[in-house]
Amino acid sequence: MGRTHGKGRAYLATGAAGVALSAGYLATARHLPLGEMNQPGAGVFPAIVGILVLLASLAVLWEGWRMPRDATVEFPAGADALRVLGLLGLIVAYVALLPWLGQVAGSFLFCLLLIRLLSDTGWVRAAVQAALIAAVAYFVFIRLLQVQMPRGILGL
Amino acid sequence: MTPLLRVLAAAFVALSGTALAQDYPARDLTFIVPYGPGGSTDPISRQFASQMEKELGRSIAIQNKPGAAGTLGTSAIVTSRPDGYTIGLAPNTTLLFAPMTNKDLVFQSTSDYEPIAKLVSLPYVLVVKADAPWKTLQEFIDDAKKQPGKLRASVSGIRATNDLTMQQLNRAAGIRVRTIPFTGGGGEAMVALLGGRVEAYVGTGASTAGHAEAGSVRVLAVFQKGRYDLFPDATPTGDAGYDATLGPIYYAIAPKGVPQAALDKLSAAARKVIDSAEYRKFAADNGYSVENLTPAQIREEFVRDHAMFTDLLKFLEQK
Amino acid sequence: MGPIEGLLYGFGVALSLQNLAAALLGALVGTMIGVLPGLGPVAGVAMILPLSYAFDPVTGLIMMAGIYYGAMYGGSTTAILLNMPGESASVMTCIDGYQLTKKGRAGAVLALVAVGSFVGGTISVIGVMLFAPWLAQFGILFGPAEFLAVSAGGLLILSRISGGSFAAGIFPMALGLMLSTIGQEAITAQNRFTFGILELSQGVELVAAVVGLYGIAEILALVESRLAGPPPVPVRLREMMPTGTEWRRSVAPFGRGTLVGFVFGLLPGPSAAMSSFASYRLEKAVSRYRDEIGHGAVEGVTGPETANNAAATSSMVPLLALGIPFGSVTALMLAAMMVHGIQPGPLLMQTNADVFWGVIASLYIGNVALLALNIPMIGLWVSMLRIPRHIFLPIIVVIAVIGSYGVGNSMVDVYVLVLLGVVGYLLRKLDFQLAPMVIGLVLGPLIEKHLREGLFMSDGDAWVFVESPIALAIWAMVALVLAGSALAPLLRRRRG
Repeated sequence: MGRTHGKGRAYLATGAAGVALSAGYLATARHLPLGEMNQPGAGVFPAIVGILVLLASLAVLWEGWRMPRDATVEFPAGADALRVLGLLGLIVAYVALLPWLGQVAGSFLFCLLLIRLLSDTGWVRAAVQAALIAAVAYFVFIRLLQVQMPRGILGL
Repeated sequence: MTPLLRVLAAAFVALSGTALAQDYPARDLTFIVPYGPGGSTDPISRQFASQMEKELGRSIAIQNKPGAAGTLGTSAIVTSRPDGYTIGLAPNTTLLFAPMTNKDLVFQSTSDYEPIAKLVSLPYVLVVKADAPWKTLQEFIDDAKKQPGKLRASVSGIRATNDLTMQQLNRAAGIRVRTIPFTGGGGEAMVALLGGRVEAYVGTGASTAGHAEAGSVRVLAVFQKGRYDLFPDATPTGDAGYDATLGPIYYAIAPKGVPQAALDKLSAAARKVIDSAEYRKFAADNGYSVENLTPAQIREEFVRDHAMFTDLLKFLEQK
Repeated sequence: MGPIEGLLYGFGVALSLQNLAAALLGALVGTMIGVLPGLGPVAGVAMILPLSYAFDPVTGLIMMAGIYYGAMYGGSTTAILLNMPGESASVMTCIDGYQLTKKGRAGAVLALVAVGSFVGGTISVIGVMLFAPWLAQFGILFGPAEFLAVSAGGLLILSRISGGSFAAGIFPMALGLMLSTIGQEAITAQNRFTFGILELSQGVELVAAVVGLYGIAEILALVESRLAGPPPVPVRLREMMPTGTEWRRSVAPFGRGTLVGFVFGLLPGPSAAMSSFASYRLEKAVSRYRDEIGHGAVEGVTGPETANNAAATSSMVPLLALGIPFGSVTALMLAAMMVHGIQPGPLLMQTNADVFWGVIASLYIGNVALLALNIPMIGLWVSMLRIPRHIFLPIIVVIAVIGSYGVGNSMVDVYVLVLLGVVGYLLRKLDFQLAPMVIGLVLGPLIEKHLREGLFMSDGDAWVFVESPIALAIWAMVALVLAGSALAPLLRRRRG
């Protein structure tokens, strides 16, 4: 079971984040040249987009303001939330360590830990499954299709 | 560390160093191409790499690293480990002109990398529609003088190489032809000419030949000194007295710090490849010129072109 | 050579054992690649390009064409089954396709899509064959003014394409536009929002973004429950086939999708994706079952899927008749020709008749091959749903990472994949629509480019954008559609 939150408040938070984002975006875009009418520069389109993001964020705030009280959004809680965060953590670690570990070792470790996270499979069985996934991916993509993935310290 | 150990260590390093130089290449190489696998540089790289494979006795994997007008892939070459196992292709404008306007680039001067070979160069051509009033380069220039800022030439981006070439002509002939960017890649600049949205097009011979053969366009000039075999009737700008001969040149480069022995081996192999009949035929088929230069000669060319780009940038900033 | 003789000659070329094998193999490999998340037609054709240098040019091109439409079809499979589009052209397919899978109609939809792709592809080939030289002129008619009308008008019309509240569509769309401005812009090569990080200057890679927004987000959502996902609906053979009603309802979308796709394929830009957006919008406007679209209506799948395959085929027109590639895949095919010393251009039909007619004939063969291969394979695809979750999810993530990395050999694309996965997960939780974000990402660069290039061209005269009759007509259509969708509910209410 997940935990429910007021949807109106979630919209207000999102809208506020959007306003902040558009402000930061527009401030950064100020340094870009606007150019002339016959030579429009790199800053023209970002200015338009920044204002659009601002207006869209205001629309989100407006809808959040007018949202019926009983409208809710549900986020996972407890063990469910841990599982989602665990998966996210694994993906982030996988991607962050990929250049260092290399494609084969990185994928193997990622698959192994994810299989353990999602099921009751024993270590040995999970290791075999993970090795299979990593090996097939290596063979198909790196050997057959010549994708140049990072090799990492093992050179694989 | 005791003195004895230090001597041993030094000896080991020296030994392994010579062993490295003699065995080089001891494993496969990577050749970085700073464009996607559809551009004209891809076949050039593959032709060069496949012949280099035979010379070096190792296989060479092509790695396309496109983006940011070639600067991304070139940066990847420059920052790769300088062991002689990663080299790549780099264009003249990216190496010499891009650092002048982009101070974020990791390569700022020509000493940040090592030239190995000059792969090919090709000239741009000035093209108008077949039903256009101008029959020669001179007519075009005379007309452009009469109505400054009215004639337009499509190029692939502002300060892209073909834009710079057109600006050279603007400067040399004292005219003001406006360059219009058509950035879609895939020949949108040519489509703009065919659709009558611009009066002229500056681009490669390969992208023009089909349309010229079909009689829909006319090639007025070629931006080089001397006749261009692909379009023998086009006026060479260099011979007509206009200092506007900039065209793409593709070099093979290695990162700074590669052992000299490896560099020597690479450039020796490259020079053999470039002199081969197979490579010459490939170049001729595609309208490329080949000039077999030593790394030292390439450096001289860098110095010359660097001065040319500096001048051109001054002209552009005055405008 | 007239079309009939030409085609006969072409079949003579294409039906050689080697070329037939290339077409079949291409369609098969293409489908496989398309099914993998993160690997779409561009990646597939790019991977095969170096191999194609070894074949003779016709064989190489036939294989690339096979991969192209195979991947186009394969990309829809995961969109329908798993809510994970392989690339931007199958984003619209997700909406109704996944709803239908939840209703147990996965097999039927896949069969309808296979037939739709066949119909769209085949009718398109006939059009290409009969009218190629004439149609090529159509692309030339379009300049910055006309394209601004198509892309900016399209953005206006599409902002609420997948329903939801006003903010639920416009906010993600604005975010998509914003993401599209990151990196080096094309016209003056200026770095924007890269904060001095060189790798960011290549911008947000579309494939990585789409796979993140949908694929990674879906995976995060899947592990929320302890149970191993939605219990796979057992699929019996009878249920693999569409019902009579489903067939009947698909006929009109097949026709409309073909037309929309064919027209978009003739234009530069991401025509397959744009045609699928347009087709979905068209179905929502004119289909008799428009109220069901968004909740699992076959029209919402068959229209866009027919359109993107028709577009894939008709995009051969500018390549074959002008020698100018209007998209990344056809650019790769052009490269393959040039390696073999074939000079693509308006004279290709005369100077290299074997290439021209061989490719046309191979498009017919490839379409038949695709249908013949894929109808039997539907069972296999549907059974993917039965792989245990803890095996399936790691595979998807590994492939998505490889796919994102492989496009530009850059870790930045992989970071985009993960980051947008989280963004997609959060936005979905709050009932924001993801399709408008992809639309913003696709159309943003086009709008900017045509706006600025038009002003360069006209020397700053903004009238250029409404001077041409074509641009005016497109803007009028946009106004009509906007007015129509604003007034329709009012009218309906009054009638009711």
